[in-house]
Amino acid sequence: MNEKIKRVYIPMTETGFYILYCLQNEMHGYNIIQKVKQMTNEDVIISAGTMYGSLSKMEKDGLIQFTKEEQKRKIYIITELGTKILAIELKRIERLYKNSKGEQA
Amino acid sequence: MESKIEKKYFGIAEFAEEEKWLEYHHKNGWRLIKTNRNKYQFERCNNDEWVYQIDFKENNSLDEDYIQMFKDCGWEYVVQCGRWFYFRKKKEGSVDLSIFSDRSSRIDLYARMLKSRQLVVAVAMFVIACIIEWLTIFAKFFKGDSLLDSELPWIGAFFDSALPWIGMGLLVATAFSAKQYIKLRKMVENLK
Repeated sequence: MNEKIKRVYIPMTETGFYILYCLQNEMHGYNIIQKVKQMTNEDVIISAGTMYGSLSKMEKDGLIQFTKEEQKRKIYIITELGTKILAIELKRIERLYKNSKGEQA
Repeated sequence: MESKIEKKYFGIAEFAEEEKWLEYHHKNGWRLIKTNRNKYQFERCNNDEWVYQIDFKENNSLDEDYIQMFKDCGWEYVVQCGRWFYFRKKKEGSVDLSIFSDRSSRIDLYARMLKSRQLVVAVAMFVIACIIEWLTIFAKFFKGDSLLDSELPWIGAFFDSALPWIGMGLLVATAFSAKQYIKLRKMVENLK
């Protein structure tokens, strides 16, 4: 795996994590914003500029791919590379959580 | 409809001030219709509190999905000026009143501005102007007489008299851009 990608995306920003996590299912940017809002009990509200920029970046880095456009909204899905990165990040989050509870990772 | 035009210039790093200025106008019953970042055209509207946000995009193409994303998030697209995109939203509550919700994307915004060719060229010329000034002053101080008096007297005369003024003119012309560059770097530092 590209070392540069690892350096950029691990650890992931909160925004990045939620976007990549949601894109395990095919959806567009605004879908993601709504889903994350609901998932996090309105704690995490991703703004339009942040979402658009993050999607462009992730697409360029090969973590997600464009599938189709519906009513002027671009729909994306996670790629194989994205899935690998997400797996690494999920492991890291799990370790943090366990340690934070006083448990061994 | 009643409309008015106002002349104002905001530097590349002064978009936050520009947003506040547009919000102030809207609160007083004038909303932005279009601009070329030199002249701003306003039209009459209700005295409500609206938030203005300006994005500086990677390029100046008007992408439909870009506008749609902002629309979905409740932003009204006002106008485009080159790479600058103007949005506004009525202030209801205090949630999602900025087009950037994390530090990382804000730093990306500043990075796009710092990389813009116009700024890079202007700052390069500022540095050249400083070098010209330093060289001419240095030459005057330590050499005393004209640099190339012996071979080509008219070059010497040129160096002596005109160059310092050309350098100074360039310095003044590019000082504003240099100020924008410094301001942007400071903004990035504050976020780190």
